[in-house]
Amino acid sequence: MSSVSEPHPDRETGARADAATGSAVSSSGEAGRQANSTNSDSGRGSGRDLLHSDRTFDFSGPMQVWQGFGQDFKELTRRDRQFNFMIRAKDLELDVSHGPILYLEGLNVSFDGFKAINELNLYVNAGELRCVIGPNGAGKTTMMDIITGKTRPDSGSAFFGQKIDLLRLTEPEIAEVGIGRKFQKPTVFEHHSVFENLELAMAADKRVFPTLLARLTGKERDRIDEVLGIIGLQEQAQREASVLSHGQKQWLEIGMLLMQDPHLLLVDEPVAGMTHQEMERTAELLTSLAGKHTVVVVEHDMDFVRSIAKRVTVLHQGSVLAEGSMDEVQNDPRVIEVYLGE
Amino acid sequence: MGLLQPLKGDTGGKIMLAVLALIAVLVPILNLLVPEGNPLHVSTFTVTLLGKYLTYALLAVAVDLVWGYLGILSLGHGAFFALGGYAMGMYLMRQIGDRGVYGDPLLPDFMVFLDWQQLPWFWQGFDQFWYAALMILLVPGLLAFVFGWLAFRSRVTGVYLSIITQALTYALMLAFFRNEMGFGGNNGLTDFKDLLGFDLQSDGTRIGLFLASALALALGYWACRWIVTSKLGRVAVAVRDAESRVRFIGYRVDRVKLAIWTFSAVLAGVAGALYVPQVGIINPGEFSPLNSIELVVWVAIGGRATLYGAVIGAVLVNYGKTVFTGAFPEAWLFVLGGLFVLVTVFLPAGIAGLLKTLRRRRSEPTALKEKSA
Amino acid sequence: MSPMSRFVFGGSDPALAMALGFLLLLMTATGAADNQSTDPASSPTAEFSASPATETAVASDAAPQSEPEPGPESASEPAPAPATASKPGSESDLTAAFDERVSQLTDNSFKVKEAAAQAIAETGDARAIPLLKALLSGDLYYRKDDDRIVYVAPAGSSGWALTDALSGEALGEVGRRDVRKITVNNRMRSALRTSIAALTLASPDPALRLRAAREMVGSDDPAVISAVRTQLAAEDDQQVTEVLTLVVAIADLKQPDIDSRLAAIEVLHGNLYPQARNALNGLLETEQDPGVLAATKAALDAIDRKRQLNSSIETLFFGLSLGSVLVLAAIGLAITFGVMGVINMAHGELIMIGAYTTYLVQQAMPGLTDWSLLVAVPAAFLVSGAFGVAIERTVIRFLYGRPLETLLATFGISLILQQLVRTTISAQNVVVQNPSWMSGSLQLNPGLALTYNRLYILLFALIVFALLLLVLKRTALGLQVRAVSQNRAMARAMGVRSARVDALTFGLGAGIAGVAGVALSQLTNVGPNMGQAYIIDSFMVVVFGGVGNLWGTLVAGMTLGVANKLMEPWAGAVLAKILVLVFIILFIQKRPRGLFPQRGRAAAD
Repeated sequence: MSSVSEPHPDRETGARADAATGSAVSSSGEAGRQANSTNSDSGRGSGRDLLHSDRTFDFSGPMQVWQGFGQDFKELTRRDRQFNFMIRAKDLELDVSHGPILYLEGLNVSFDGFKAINELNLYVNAGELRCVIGPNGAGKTTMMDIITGKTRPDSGSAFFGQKIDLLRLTEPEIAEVGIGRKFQKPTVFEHHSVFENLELAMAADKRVFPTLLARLTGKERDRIDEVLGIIGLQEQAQREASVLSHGQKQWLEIGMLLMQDPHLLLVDEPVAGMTHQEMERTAELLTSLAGKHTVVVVEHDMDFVRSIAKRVTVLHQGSVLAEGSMDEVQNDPRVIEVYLGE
Repeated sequence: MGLLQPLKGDTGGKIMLAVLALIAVLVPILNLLVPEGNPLHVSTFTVTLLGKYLTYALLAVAVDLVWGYLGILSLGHGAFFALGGYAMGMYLMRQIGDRGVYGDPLLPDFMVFLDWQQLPWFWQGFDQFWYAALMILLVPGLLAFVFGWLAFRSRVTGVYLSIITQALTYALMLAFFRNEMGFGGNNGLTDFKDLLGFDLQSDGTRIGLFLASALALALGYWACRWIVTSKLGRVAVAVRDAESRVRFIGYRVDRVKLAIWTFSAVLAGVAGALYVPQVGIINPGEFSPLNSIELVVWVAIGGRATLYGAVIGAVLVNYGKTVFTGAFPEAWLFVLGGLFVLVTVFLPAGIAGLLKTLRRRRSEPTALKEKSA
Repeated sequence: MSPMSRFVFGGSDPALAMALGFLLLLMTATGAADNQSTDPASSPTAEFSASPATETAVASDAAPQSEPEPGPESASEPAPAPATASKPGSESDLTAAFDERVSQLTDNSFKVKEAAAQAIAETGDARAIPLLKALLSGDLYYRKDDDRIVYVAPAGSSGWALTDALSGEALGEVGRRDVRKITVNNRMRSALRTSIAALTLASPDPALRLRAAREMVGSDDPAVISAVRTQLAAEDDQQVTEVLTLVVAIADLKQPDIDSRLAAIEVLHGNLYPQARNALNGLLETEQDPGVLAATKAALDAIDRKRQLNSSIETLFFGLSLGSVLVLAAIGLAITFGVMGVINMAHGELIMIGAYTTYLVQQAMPGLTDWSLLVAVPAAFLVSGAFGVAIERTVIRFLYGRPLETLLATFGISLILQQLVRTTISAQNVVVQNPSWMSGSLQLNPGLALTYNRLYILLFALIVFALLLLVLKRTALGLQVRAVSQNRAMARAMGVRSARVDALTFGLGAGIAGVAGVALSQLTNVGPNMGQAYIIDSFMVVVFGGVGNLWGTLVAGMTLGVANKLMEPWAGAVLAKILVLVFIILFIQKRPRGLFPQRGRAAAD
């Protein structure tokens, strides 16, 4: 398994990334496993020969398989061995020492023959504020679905930092390692008050029993009040979320994102349905978040994108068409053709 | 903080518990101390009937917990109820001892009848009450846990989940109908004699069971309130309203569901265990999908996601059933069917919702008056 | 009541089997049955739990529910040829002997009656066959005042119309008490059948001869065998020859010389008549000669291989047959559930209404049972469809987008409909007649017969499926239905009258349920509870196949049917059902959207 994903220059090896599933954390364990995987591979190969050659019997194959088992056994009994189920997602360390926080490589997704994502390669640096634009059906939302675990790609890899393999984590685990998402259509918990919505989103121990016994501390209350201030919903704190306007729901969702305190924020069409003033405030907020957090914004509103973006990625038919500053992208003839030619 | 914390703001629940406490005090007095023939005398038959309603109410509370707060419409909760009932029934069967028709000291009558030579392994231990009590909690709980673990992990939701819960109870019904299963087949378990040494036919035992049912309902209600007022309860409601969103903010939806679902199944099992000694029989009919659907209607009529509404619904519908099947047996299905339709179409919030609306309407005019004055 | 036993084909009701046995006797006697399977053990009758009542080797899968009362055919058919009365010369002696013998039938002693019957057969008189048949079927009576032997036919409200059995003269109507039936016992019945067969063997009609020959398979009566040998020499029909050869071969197994036995074994090699197998098995125990023993074993092996194949085909057929019932029951649901997202728990009751419509149609056109189904199909479609439209307009339209609520409301409706039938018609099951063309079976080989009713229903299910597919794919309504199911708001914006489409779609689903009810009325008991037996299975099929996918429903229904029947032999019917349910529960965990899920981003939410 470890050698499936192609090592990227910025990352050390694919095997390191396996730490996400915790098969081996220490580097010595890793070496051992690599050795044994080679062995069992060759063992399997000669087994195939056995089946197909009718004259010579190669007994080294089975022998190697046995050795492989032996090593597997040793592997299992090593003292420093840590098993998958013993490692919780939140214990995984986010390693951005090489720059990028998000690596998407060779991703493919198709729905009933329609290729929504086609050999997508995308890297986002830690602390960056990246805008992703593209015509309808370019695959923007599907890309976010992959990053957050909602959709599994047919092939390719997605890493958060250098170690965390997103494709092996479930949605809550991905949220736990520090990726938050705001949906295109604002989804808040309609039957909860604004305050409760923020409380639920708040970074905390989200396992069942701690949640059952959880009581709000003063510090947490302060944090919620602070976020209420940021999103301007202090007045509505005790009102049911269902009575909020569309724009207010957008804000509430951004607030929930802030409460999660994620490393990476995925923001899908944040300003849809907002007034110009609100848009400005959103732009302000997002730019202020960048640096400490990494923000990826998908947006259709070009003025808004221009106002916040340093770097823009253009998606088209499931892959990256162009990347660069807003001006570069806007002058790219291919981008012009995609937007205007059709 | 404190024991009353979960009841904060739950006016309906407080009233319901107060009424429950009142009848728990009054009914035994009226049964035991007021002589027969006095118009205030409550017959033992009525006591048992009330006790039965209370176990139904507990079952309805368990269903409301998963349906009202977690959004899982279980059409198979009757199965957990019946399993709890069977566990109790097995204990009661073992208590009969050699007083059965065939007088076998070890084997229940139906086994002797089937010419079985020895007690099946799963009947071992049921002569001990503590063991039976443990099984009453464990068997429904374990089934719910395994079923839920499979279902929630693979995200079977909504209608699909409802249908497979129905299939679950249907399959169990078919299985329990088989004599080979070792649970008395068609006839189920009956002819119980005593419980913990108390004669099941005596007035005192009946009162005791009635009080135990009342206590179980009160405790079960309190526990459910405790869950729904906790942060976990708010997560549950969030799951009900926008499941995938909850996942994206980092909660393991499957585990939240599994925990509450299993707890609810255990409650249903306890209700079943209290039900069986009062009605004196448990048979595979309790597994019938019809029962499970019917009990969802109690909750719907009482008012979903209120808990006390479930209690109201269970008691009212069953009282109606007692009255109607006595007076106009033909009409009962028309009434029940009509209730299903009317409540779902015109009264989606049930009786509790109706009460709430009425209360609000009454308070609003006064508020206006105060303002103008 | 065990719900399982009623699940598919009426279950193993002993009373039913007895009625069936009685019916069979009747048909054999009157020649109404045109096809018979001669193997009660391996024939589909086994599923109706062959009870002692089916004591004869003759069994057919005919109409499990038809009333066993003597139909018009049996009473009117044996109209004797009056011509015989005026036969001249020496034949008149024979006639006299015949008349003499016939008059002995009024005797109380079965022994006398048996001898008389034997003698009647031996006269070879043309009147013998109808007479003996009437005797066998219990239609032969004698008048109490003058001991005249008569045929009876129901006439008026309580009387019988009498026909003289000898002269054919009509004797007018009398009360039922004026005549007495000539009773027969089991011993006589079998003797009668042999006699009738021997007589028929001489018939000029090859079809009659074939049936008679089949009757004699396994007989060891020397008189019969010698009659068969005589006939065999003269026989020119190939099929008849084959059967006659078989009769002789079975008898020859008892021949003293080895070569005859070997030759007989050669004939029986791989023969599927159960009598052949029994005879060979018998030989296995008594035979001394090793050569003959080996040949016997080889012959038996060949038989067993063929039987194996037969039973596989049969299981498959039963499976597909059950599958077709499941598909019929589920396909309407696939529309209301799959296309509209409505959980219609009253679907089973709409099936029930279809079945009751069949019943009412038959009541409305008595004597036309053969045609009633053709009327019942459209009638049931319209009646159930109308109920469906009414349900949609009054209840379901308030509940769109709330599938769980539709489940509860329609469950309420199902209770109301059940009670409605109980109050207006009857709480008991009603009897739905099977038309004659549905009874009997297609004899593929002596050990394998596929009953026509199941074949027709399998065919019917496929036709309904194809028509439905056609409606959805090729008509304007189908287009609108699909449009509304995919995006209600958009369809409305495009000018589709979604309310009308909803009502029609629901009506279509309900109508198909009604049509399924017509088919089910031919297989199972029709009663107020029949719908409940199908609702869970139908949902299982739809969910297993993948909601919103008609092909999925077809494949799922057939798969579940076959799986059920495959497991039944070793697990038993109930356990097989439980296993299938458990399998589906587990399957849904693995593939929550069924076998053929709808895919894409839109399907995710």
